[in-house]
Amino acid sequence: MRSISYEIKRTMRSRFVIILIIAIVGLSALLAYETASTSNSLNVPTTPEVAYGYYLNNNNLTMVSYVYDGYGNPVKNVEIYYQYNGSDYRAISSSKGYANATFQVKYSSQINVLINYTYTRFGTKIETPSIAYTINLAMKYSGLEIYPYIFNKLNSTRMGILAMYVGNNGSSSPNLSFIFLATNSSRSIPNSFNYTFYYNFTSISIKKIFPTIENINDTYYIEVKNSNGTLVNIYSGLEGGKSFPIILLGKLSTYSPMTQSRLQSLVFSGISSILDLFIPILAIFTAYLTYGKDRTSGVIESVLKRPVTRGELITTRFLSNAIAIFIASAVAMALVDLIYFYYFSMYFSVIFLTELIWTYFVEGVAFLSIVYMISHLVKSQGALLGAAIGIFVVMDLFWEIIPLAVISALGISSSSSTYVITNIIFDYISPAGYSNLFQTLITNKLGSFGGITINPSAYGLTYLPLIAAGLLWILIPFLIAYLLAKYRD
Amino acid sequence: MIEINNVTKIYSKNNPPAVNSLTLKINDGEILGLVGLNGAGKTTTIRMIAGILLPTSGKISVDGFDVVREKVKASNNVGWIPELPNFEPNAKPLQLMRYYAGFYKNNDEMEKRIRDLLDMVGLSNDLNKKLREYSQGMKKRFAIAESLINDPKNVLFDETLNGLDPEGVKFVRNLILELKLRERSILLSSHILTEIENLADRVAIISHGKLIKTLTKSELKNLGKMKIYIEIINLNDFRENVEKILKKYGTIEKTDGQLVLTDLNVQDNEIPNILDDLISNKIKVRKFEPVGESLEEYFFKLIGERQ
Repeated sequence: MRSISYEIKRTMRSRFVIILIIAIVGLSALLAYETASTSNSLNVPTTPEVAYGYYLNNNNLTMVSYVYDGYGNPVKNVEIYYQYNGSDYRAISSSKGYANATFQVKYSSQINVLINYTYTRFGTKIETPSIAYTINLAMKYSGLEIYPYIFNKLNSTRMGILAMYVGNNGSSSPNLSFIFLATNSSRSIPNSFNYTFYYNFTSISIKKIFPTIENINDTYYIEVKNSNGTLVNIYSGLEGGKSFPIILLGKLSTYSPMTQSRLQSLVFSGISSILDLFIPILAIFTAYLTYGKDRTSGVIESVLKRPVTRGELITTRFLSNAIAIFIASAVAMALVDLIYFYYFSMYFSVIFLTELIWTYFVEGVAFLSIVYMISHLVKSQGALLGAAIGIFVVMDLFWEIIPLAVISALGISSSSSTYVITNIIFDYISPAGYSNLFQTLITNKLGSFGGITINPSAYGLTYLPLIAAGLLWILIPFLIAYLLAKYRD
Repeated sequence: MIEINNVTKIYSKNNPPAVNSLTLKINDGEILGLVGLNGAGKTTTIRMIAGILLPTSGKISVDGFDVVREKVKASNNVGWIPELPNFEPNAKPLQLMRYYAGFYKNNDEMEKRIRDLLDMVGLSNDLNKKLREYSQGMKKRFAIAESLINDPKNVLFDETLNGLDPEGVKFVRNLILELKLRERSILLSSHILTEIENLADRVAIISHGKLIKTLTKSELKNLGKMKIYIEIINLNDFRENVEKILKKYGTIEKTDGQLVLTDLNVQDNEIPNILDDLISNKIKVRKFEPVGESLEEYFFKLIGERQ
């Protein structure tokens, strides 16, 4: 019958349905993007760091400081205080990140300069504790210093080094070869390495280097050679002015492989809340706009006089509405899956994806059924709209709060079995709790309230009763609506 | 053909039946007028035939198909134009007509038929408007078009003339007659009893859901007691003689310069004798018009007697 295709088109072309589907899909995608893009970049420092070096010209010491962010990019307007021999010398980082200061020093074997810096964050001035930078006066300049653990902006799970070179009178470096040595050996300095990566640069003052990472679990070392193949000492003023031929960098990846369990946590940490709110709105008001309103206003009579039975008419409209809900939940979850795949190279398992789509489809269609049923119990459009809003407010919007209020009123302890059972009962009472039940089944944690680990099967939460509950939620109200439509004017 | 057999409709047990043991038949090519006061059960009867309401008891069949048990087949041959048509307000006429057409067996001609019907009812210049922008009269015209979408063999007009302009009334009147010529069975409910009187082959009068009387076309022409409207040339010269003659046949009333002879004591076939009597007495008669009661007069008299 062509009318079914019209009903589907009619539902899908409804401005309300289009807006809601876009909102559901768009917000889910946005949350997926947000959770995916930040889940592995939590370690990137948000405060400025400073790389130091120096050069001497007679008695004049020039302290060279480069202020950088977590990605090694320059940070301006950071005030650096150099304290030497009771005097403070101040420099402010330029747009290139440099904050240099020159002052006279007295010759001895080595001197310490105390350094601290201040920066402004969220309108608050923050001052770092002082650290000692040791200058070996036997060396006219610091040469090469290496600061590990800057993050790659293109892949924030990958780390590299910031190399700083201060030569004679502040000159840049000669040709240098940076050699990254990767090993999975547990020895402090292994005899051999699995991989060696060379990076040649000349005339560097500041250089960000992100080595190739073959294996995220490998430990990395770095050594630097000049054009003659001689090892270059790597100076460290912050470690007492010592020089090192090789430096242990450690692991250069914060990446931990994605698992289905982590993917599920990402979904349940935000996207499920969006769907729990918007899918019932879509269902309740689509049912009102495409069936209930027509029935209570009498518009449906212009259809009922056609060669169609009352049963066929209600079923056709119900199915077209259910298809809209299916599309909303399926497209939202498919898009979330694609976004997560983009970030984590892992799709949801077919079972999990099916569970998600089923959960939100059932939740939506159950609300749909309820409004169809009420459409046959009230006489006026106003009463139906009021009932629809009431159902949304009580059975969806506040459904997380109502069990809490009841539990609190009854004085049930959150560590008791009664608490778990009460929550599960409430989740069974409203279709809004259906996703919580599935969440509990999948994660072994008590759905909406989280935190409490339970054994779902010990509380009767297995696939069979959950699927049966979903079907009953859909079928019982719809069957009542169907019978009322068929046998009552 | 529509057959209503002993149909009762009860909306609420606390109220009397809206339709009570009603039996009617509308033959192919026949116009049945349905008259009654408000609440008499006319619209309920029509809505039951259209499949909108379920009869509490009894059976309604359309072309032999039960409207409850064989709704699809029955409704396939019924067109219903309600008193207050109610459509999806945001739909456009063509879009909605195509939707309605989807319920019937379609052929390549359907699109043309949809446009022809909308043209026929005078809406072809308003196809881009949404139905919520239509006036009540335009909605009624649209209702006529959409009700005829499948060229039904049975058409129900429920107070269709209400809310139509004079041109619309004329259009509907002609449409009904054209449908009758095409052997459609037509149920016509209207408060405008003169229209019913002029159009209907039979008239069913119902009151409180019950059928009181069914009148045939010939009965409609001779309703109730006859009256004779008489105009005499130079009446004042012959008044005494005229009154003496006419009193032999009934009661004389005067209205607008003419005499009306009522309460006739002669049979209808003896009425010409009255004219003969006047002429033989040298009375010059300008007008001698025997008429029966109008349907309206008859209806109110009948309903009044019932109540």
